Amino acid sequence: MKRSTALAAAAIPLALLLSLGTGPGDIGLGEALRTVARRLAGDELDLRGAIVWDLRLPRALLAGLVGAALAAAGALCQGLFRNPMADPGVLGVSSGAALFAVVGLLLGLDRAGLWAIPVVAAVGAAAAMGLLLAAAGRRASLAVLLLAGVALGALCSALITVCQALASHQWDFGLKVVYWLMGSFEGRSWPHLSWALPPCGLGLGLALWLRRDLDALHLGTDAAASLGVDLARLRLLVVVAVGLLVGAATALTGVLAFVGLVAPHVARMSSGPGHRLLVPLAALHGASATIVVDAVARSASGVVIPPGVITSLVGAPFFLWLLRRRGLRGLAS
Amino acid sequence: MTPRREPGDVPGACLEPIGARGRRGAGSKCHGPRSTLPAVPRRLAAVLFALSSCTGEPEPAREPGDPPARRIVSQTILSDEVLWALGPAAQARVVGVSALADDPRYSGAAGVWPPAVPRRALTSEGLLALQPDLAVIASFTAPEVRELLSTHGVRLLELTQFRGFADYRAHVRRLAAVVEDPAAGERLVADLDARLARLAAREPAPRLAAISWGDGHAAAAGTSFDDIAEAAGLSNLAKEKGLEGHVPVALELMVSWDPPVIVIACPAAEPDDPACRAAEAATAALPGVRATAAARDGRIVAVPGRALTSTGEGMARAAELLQARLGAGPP
Repeated sequence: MKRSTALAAAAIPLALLLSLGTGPGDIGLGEALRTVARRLAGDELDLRGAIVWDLRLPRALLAGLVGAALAAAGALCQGLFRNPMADPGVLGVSSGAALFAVVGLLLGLDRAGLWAIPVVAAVGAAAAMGLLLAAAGRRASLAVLLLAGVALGALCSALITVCQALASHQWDFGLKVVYWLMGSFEGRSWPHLSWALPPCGLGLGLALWLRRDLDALHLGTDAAASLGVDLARLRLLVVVAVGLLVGAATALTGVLAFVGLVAPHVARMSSGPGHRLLVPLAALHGASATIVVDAVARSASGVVIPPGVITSLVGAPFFLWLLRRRGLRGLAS
Repeated sequence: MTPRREPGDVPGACLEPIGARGRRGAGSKCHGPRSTLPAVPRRLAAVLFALSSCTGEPEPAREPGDPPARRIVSQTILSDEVLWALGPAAQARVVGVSALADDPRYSGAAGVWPPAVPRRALTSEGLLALQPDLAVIASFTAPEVRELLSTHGVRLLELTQFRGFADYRAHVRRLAAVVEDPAAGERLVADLDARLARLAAREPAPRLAAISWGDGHAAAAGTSFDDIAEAAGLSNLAKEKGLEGHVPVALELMVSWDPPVIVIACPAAEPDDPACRAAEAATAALPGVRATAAARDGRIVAVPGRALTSTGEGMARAAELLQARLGAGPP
């Protein structure tokens, strides 16, 4: 393991410790760690224990998983399209998840239980992915795939706006949509983590498996084909992996902007353009960054700052700084 | 902390008499900052968004010499409710009610207005077509619509403060004055006070602390829930924590307070609706909530949103429902 990967991996437990010791419940890190140890030993937990075990720990782990998923999806998209500006949103999968979530909120499905909106959003992500593949065709070029994704995302965004316009007199619906679209880990616990693990695990596994083909594609489509890469199969698998990763992340936490765009660039600064290191390193960076962002969001008890807003507030200036420092060409290499 | 209002206090209703076409009346007092609420809980949004603040100087409902309002278009749920409750004389002057008047999730007057009375959204053409001489509007009414109504000689009555029973009494009196039936207004106020007296007579012991919480926000001091809790014989936990207004309270913070009672709104017209039980179960299933005293003692109480988020008669209904659920003695 390279030093950069080891450092990135070490940052995750540190971020988890920060997250465990942060929150409006006035429970410090020491007490939080003792609580985790007691629970692992099978002890029953009191109220403060429940805060640590049922609230802080699962949402920190979920934040890490979602951050890793979005960052890995971003690395895949940038690799597939050989475009440093590509992020997981370009395929329209997150927009599909958001559209279905909004329709679910409009129909009042959120009252059916905590599972309802994530399930509906996951169906939306899958539907968007299927529609994308159907619209672009299995043998479509990268440009067609990219444009089909952009069009699909625009269509979903327009339909979300239609839903909001049609229900503009239902102010509680409007606020629910706004909060959902801003992205949040509030109230997420073990069930959400267990729902996220299978698709994210499968997506991350696919992402790691595709690294070699993406490295070949980095040399150009002709070179990749001459090296034996089945480009149509690669496109299909990348779309499936991104769909799983982004669909699950968006379904469970709403829209978290910039993680998928910035984390691969940060990873590329130390790993270089090769996807063998880039994909896992981006995932590690995305995980630790998202855990820290959520901890920061929770540390301000007097106001509600959704993590999705913080990722944008931090991510956008950071990305501008990167652009200024390295230029667009530098980002791509 | 906002001082509690007494029955004789005057809320910040703003009436804008229009003297000449094309300009607002010189007596307009609606020049306070609009909608300065720091945050809005989702469950309470319908009312709070509609009724957020315009802190002008108190002003009489009718200025001397104003023509009586004979064609009133109501654009707030509260005025829909009050104008109906004031009786036939007031109802006869209403030429339009708000688009939410029949929505049982928000309105305590759902289904009572005859179909012949138009339901109107806040559009200038839709309102002007009714040829009103008075429009009861909300703080979110677009400035363009206000200006157009004013230009066409429609007086604007903006109800602005909604902090509990005192403001409700004053709003009732204002609307009763506008429809020239103050006696009907006094009857409504007397009915309310009688219900509050009955609630006070059977106040539960011990006095439990309750938090009205939903989707990361709580109702603290200076909110209608503060009055609801007091009327039901409860204390407002969020107020005891020094908070004011509708404020963000993260789930972790709410759980850490270990509330004995958690009050939530449910999207139903009546408390025995399955949606209310589902809302209680959903709140109990939130991470950490099952460890609270409220969950252990079965005191997560869902109250229909049109009562809990009401700024009118529904506040008394909410207090009665809370008292009934929390085991007070019979009336």
